Amino acid sequence: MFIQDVRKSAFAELEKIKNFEEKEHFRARYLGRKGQIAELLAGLTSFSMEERKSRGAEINKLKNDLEAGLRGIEEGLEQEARKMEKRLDITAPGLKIKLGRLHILTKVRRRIERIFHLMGFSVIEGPEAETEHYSFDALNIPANHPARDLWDTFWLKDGKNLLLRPHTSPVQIHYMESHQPPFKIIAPGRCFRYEATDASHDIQFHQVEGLMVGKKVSVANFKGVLESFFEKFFAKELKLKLRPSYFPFVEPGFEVDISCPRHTGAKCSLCGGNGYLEVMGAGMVHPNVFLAVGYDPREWQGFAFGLGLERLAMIKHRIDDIRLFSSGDLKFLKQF
Amino acid sequence: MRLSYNWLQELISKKLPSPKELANVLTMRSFETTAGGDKKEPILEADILPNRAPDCLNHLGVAREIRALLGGQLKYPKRLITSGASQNKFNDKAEVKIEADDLCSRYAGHLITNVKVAVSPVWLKNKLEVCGLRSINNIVDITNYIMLERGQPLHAFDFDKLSVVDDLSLASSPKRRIIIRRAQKGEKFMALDGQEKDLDERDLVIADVDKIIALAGIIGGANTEVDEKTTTVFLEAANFEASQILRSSRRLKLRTESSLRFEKGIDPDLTVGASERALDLIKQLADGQAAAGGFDFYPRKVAAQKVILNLDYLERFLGFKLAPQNIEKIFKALEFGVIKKSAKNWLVSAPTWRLDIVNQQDLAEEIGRFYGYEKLPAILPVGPAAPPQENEELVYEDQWRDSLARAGLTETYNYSFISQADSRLFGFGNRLAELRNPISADFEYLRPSLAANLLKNVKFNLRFFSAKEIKFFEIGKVFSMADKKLREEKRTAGLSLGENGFFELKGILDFAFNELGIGDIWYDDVLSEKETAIAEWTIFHPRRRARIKAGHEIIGYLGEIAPSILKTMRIDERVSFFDLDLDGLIRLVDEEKIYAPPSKYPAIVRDLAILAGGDVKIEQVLNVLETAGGPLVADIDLFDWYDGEGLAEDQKSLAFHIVFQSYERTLTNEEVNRLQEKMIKAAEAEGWEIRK
Repeated sequence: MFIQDVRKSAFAELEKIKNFEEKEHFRARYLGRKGQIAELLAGLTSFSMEERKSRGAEINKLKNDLEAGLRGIEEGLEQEARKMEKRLDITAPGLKIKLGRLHILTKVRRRIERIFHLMGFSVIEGPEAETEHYSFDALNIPANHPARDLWDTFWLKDGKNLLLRPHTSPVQIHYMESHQPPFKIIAPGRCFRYEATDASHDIQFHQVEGLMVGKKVSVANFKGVLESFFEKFFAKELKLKLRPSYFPFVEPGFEVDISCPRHTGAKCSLCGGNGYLEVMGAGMVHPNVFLAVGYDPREWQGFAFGLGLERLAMIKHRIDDIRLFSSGDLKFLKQF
Repeated sequence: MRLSYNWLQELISKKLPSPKELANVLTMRSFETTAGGDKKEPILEADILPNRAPDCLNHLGVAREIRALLGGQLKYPKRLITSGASQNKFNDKAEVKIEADDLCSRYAGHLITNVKVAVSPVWLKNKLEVCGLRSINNIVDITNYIMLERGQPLHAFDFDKLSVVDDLSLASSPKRRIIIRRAQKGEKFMALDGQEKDLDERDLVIADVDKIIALAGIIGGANTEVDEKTTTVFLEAANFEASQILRSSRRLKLRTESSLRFEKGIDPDLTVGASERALDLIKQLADGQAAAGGFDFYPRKVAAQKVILNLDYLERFLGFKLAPQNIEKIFKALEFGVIKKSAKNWLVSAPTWRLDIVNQQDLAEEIGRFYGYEKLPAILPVGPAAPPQENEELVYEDQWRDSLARAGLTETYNYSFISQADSRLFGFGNRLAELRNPISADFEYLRPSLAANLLKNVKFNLRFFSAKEIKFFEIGKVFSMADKKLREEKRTAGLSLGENGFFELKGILDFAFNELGIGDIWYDDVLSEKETAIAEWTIFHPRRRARIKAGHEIIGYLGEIAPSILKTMRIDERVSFFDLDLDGLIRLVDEEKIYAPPSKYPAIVRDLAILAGGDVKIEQVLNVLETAGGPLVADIDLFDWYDGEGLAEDQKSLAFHIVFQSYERTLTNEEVNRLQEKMIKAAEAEGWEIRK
C-alpha cells in the first residue's frame, strides 16, 4: 500500500463528508484502531531500518494532516448545527427566584444608619415602653407643660404610669445618663401616637433620633451634617432650609425643609409646587436637658433631631399612604 | 391664630408686603404662617409656637414682630378720652378680696356705670368675625376685641347681679364684693355657654359673697352675664397662674380663647393698657362712665429679664461670627436693651412681654433667626472624635434578617397591638399589658407575641396569593406583665404554609443559625407540666410542635399552629410558625467559625434503607448508625422518608446516603463493606428491618 495513494483517497473522501455520522465513519476508517494509518504502521515491519524511519515519518505526517483536516470539518459541521438551533425568545421573563424581601423600612433605616455611621455616628436603641421621666420630664416637658399636648400619648394600665414613647427622644436621656460627651449617636425605633389615622398619620411609626454633643457643636454643624445626610440619602444636591419651631427639649427649635428632590415645577406632586418639603424637627439641645442628665450646659452644646422613617420612605419611593407600611400586604411588600 | 391683614396694617406705619409675602417672611423668621381670605379681607393663619404665645397671640404682638423684621413704626391705639372726674367712686360700691394670691399675680378691676348695652357697630363686628369670633353685644365684643388686639383676656360682669354684702354698717351704701378664691368641693358652676360643671378645690374661681360668678381665666358665669338690661359693668383684667388655668380647663374640658392665652402665660403688665382701652371704647360705644379709681392687686411687679450674652459663646453656638453692630441692630429691632457692654460680655434685657427669654441660648435663637438661618454656613464638624462604635446586637439582628429573607421569608412590620378577641383566641390570658386609652377595640393590648398579627397577614394575603407564596417573618418588641412589672423583649417569628411547613422552617432556621455561627441548637418535644399551659406552647398543634433549645435553655418554639385557631380564623391551610427570643439568640452568636479542609481522598457512598417503628425518632436512628460506623463515616444524609400507604400503621421507611471517607488514605471496598455490615447489625439489634 502506498502512502501517497492513501493520502489521495483520504483527502478526496474528507471533502465529501456532510454530517457527523460520515465524519465518525471516516475517523474509524483512517484513524481508528484498525484504520488505514494503523495498517500502514503495522506494515512497517517489512521494511529495512532505514526505510522504516523515513516511511514512519511520512505516515505520522499523514496522520497529523488527517487529524487537522478532520478538525476543520468538525468545526464546519458544528457551525452548521448551531445555525439549526432554535432561537431564544429573549423577551420571555426570567425565572422567578424564591427569595424573601426585606421590609422597605428596614432598607431605609439601613441606608440612614450607613450614612450616619460614615459620619462617625454610633447606632443605639432604647425601650418602646417608657416612663414619664424619660419621655417628658427629663426632656424639659414637666407635667402641666402646655407643650405636652404636642404628643398624644398612649398610656398603660400598669399602675406605674408607663407609656408608649411618642418619640425616640427618651433614648437621648438614657444615653447621656451613662456616657460622657463628646459623642455622636443615632437611635432608630418605633414610636406611638394616640391619634386618628389617615393617609399621613398612623398610631405607630418609626423615627431615627440623632444627637451630637461636644464643646463646639454649632447650628452651622447641624446644617452641615444634615445637608450632607439628605444629599446622600436622595443622591442629589439639595438645599436645607431651617425655620423657627418649638420643642421644649431644644432651643432654638427648627423645622427642617429640603429642596424638593424630584421637583417638576409649579404642579409638582411631591412638594405641591413650592419647591420645599418639610422633613423633620430638630434643634440645639436645651440647657435644662443637659442639667437633667448632669452635664454642665456651659461646657457642652449640641444638636438633636428626629427623622421620620416613613416620611423619608414615602418621599423617596412615592408611597401615598402611611398605613401601607403596617398592612402586611404582600402586594406592597414585594415591591421593594 | 387667625389674624386680619388689614388690622395688622392699621397697627404699623409701613406699607405691608402682600399677604403671601408677609406670610412667607413670618414663616422663615418667626412661626409658620399661611395667607388666606379674599382680596378685600385677607387673613393670615399663624401657627404661633408655644413659646411665642405670650407675646404673639394677638395683633399688636404680631405687628411688633413684623415691625422688628421689616421696619416702620408701631401705631399703638391712642387713648380716646382722658377720663373726667366721675361722681361715682369704685371704693364706694365695690371691694375685691384676693384669697388665692398664689394663683393670681395681678387683678385689676374697674366699674363702669350708665352703660347702654346694644349691638356693636359694623367695624367692630367685622373685626371679630374676620378673626372667627361671634359678635354678642357691644360690651362683650369690646372685651374680645381687646384680647385680639393685645392678648389680654378681659371679663365684664353685670355688677348689679352680684349679691350685696350683708353688713349693717354698710346699709346706707350697699357694696358688692368680688372674691378670688379656690372652689370648694361640691360647688356647681353654670358657665355662660350653658354647661354646668362640678368644681372642687383644684379650681380657681371669681365669686361674690354667696356664689361663683366666673371660672377664673376660663369662662364667665351665666348668673352675671352682661345683657341688654345691664347698666353697671365690673371689668376684670387679671393675670392668673398659667399651669392652674391649664389644669382646670383640661380637667373640666372647657377651652376658650381666654384659657388658651392664660395657660401659656402672658405679661402681667398688659392689664393696664387693656383696661384703659376698654374704658375708652365703652365710653365711646356704650356711653359708659368709669367710676373714679379702681382696684389693682399687683404685689410682685415683674422686672425685665436680664441675661448675660457672651459673644464668644454666640459665635461657638451659631458656628459663625457676627459683627457686634449687627447683633446690636437685631436687639434694637426686637426692643431688647443692651444695658452694659464689655468686650465679650453684654448684659441684655428682654421686654416683659417676651416671657420666653431666660438664658443666653434664647438670645442666640433670636440672633440666629433674625439674621437668617439660611445665611448660616453649613459646616461639617471637624476635630477629634472617637470612631463610631458598632452596635454588635444590631449587626447580628440585621444578619438574622438577611438570612431569613435569603431563605425565602418576606419581612413584615405589624402593629404592636392586639384585640381582646385575639387574646382569647390565642389564650394569651392575664399576662397582657393593657392600654389605658386604646384608640379602638382592635388595639386594646400590647402584643405579647408576634403570632396573632402574623396570622392575620396570612388571612389577608390568602385572598390574593396562593399558600406557597405566603412566607413571612417579623422582628419586633413584645410586651407582657409579670408580677406587676412590664416586660419588653425583642422576638423574631415567622411562618410558612403547607404540608411541609414545619421542616421548611426548620431548614431555614438551621441555615440562619449556621450563618450566625450558632451551633448546639436542638429541637425537643418533651415538655414539663409547667410549660404545657403557656401560650407560646398551646398555640401549637399538640402533636406537631417543638421547643428550640440551646443547651438546656429554651430559646424558642417551632410547630404547626393549632387547628382550632386556624379554624376560627378561617384559614384552610396548615400554618407552621416559629417564635424565638432574639436577644437570647444573639448571645449565642459565635463568629469564630473554623475552616475544615476537605479530604484529599475519594469518598465512597452507600445507601441504606431502614424500616423502623413509627415512634422511633430519626435522630435515634442516626445516632445508632453513626456510633456503629465509627470515625470513617463522614456524613449520613436522610434522602427519603415515607410513612404512608403500603406500610403498616406504625412503621416508617427511612433511606440514607452514607458517606465514608478518610483524611489519611483511600478506603477500600472491603473496608467499607465491613463498616456497612456493622451498621446493619447495629440497626437490626434495635429491632429495625433493613430493606434490600
